[in-house]
Amino acid sequence: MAKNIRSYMPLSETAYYILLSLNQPRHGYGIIKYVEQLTDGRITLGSGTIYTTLGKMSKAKFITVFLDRERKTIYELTSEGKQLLRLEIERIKTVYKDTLYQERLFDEESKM
Amino acid sequence: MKKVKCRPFWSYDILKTQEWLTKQGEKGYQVVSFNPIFRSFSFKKDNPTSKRYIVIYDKGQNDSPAFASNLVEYDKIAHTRNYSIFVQKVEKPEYFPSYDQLLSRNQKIKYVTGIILLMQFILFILPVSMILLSALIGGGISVEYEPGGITAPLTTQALLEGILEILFLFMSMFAQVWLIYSYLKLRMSNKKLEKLCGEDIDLSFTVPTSTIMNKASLQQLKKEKKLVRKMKIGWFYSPDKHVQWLEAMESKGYHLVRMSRIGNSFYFIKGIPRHMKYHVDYQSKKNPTYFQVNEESGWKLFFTSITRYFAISVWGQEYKDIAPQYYSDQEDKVKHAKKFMLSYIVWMLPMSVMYFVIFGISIYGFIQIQFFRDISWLVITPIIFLLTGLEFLYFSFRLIRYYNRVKAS
Repeated sequence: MAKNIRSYMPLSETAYYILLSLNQPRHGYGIIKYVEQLTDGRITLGSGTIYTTLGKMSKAKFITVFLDRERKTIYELTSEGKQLLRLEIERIKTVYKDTLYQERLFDEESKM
Repeated sequence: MKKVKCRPFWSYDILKTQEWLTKQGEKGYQVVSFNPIFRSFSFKKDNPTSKRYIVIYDKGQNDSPAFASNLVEYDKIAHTRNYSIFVQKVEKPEYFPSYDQLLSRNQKIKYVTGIILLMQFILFILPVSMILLSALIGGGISVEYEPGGITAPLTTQALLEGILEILFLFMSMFAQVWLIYSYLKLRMSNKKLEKLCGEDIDLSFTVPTSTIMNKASLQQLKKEKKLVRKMKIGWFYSPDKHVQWLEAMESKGYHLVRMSRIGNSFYFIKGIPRHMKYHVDYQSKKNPTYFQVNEESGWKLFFTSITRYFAISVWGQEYKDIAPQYYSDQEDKVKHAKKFMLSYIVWMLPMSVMYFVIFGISIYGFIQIQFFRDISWLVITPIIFLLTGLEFLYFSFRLIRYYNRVKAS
């Protein structure tokens, strides 16, 4: 399964933020609102994007679907989804570290 | 004490099966395992309880379905590759299983059996109608019968062949009954599931009761010339241009209020100009989330096809400064356009080629065969074939252009 997960990486920014927002079960619209809040309004996910991405993710078994008391669909990460998110977080951390390092080099060069 | 009970079509009506399992529990028989091959459930004699049982379909989930992995409200009883049985531990749980996957499975089975039955019906009706027609209009039917019957003594081979033939007859009859039963049963249970999944979409929204109360008020509006009706045919072959047209109408003050059920007429009411963003969406499967997410995001539905698959929906949203994006991701936008285009041109282009070939054959026949040339009006047939072929080609061309425009944007 681990090999399978890697084939989904790297995730698109949209997909990454959707997975990231699922630290608790949420509705589709709840995800949109939460991502907007998390990114200070930088990312406003379109409802079509949310719908297609969630569909793809649940087909790949990264998220699961159930209903709440009002029979509204809510989404939650599966164990595979959590695994994928962990791997992706690690990858982005390295990207971030490399970016900081290179940024410093660029800054020093421009000073000289 | 153990009890095994068979339930042949248990998955065709899961809700009933769930009820049945709960009833068995009330009688004191608690389900312990089940066998999907023999379609049998094993029960254990225990204290009668009023616990509710639920069955979940989760395809290819080798472990227990993800649904219950985090929930403490349900206990897993039995589990096979695609199905799991759970028992509800609390009276009023916070979460419920989704029957989405099961519904789409059952819908697929229903479609396939429906198509088989339809084909059989056509194959059956053709010879029957031919015989009937010849009996009614023609000079009746004469049956040729050769007397003589069995001349040779009955051999074992002939006997075996006869038995086999009867067996085949019974088997085909059984298959027929099975198909019809499956279809009818699924039709009924799918309706129940659709209701539960929120997929029984009420299409009456195409008549917005807030603006147009009834037919009389519609007539009244038409009389006062407040209502403008525009007809458009084949607009969905260039959805982006159509969206521009709708938005331009809105900026002129024509508010779209409704569309006809087939989607070829648009009703506008004259008002003040406003900013409106429209989107023509193509989704092959309707899912309750689809409508939930869009409506909560502020999109209003103006039209959706009656079909579940290959459905086109028209969404609109009013805005002040920044236009809302239906697809916030450029990649999604292009993918959507690609899916839209491909799902039409995969059958339209072959159809157009086929019509051109038929046109070629018929025009050749027209030139070659004296009989056709004598009846000159028959030339209309190849012309119709040519026009149909050109039409399919034109629609495909428009869809490809649409895709290219989206890609370049």
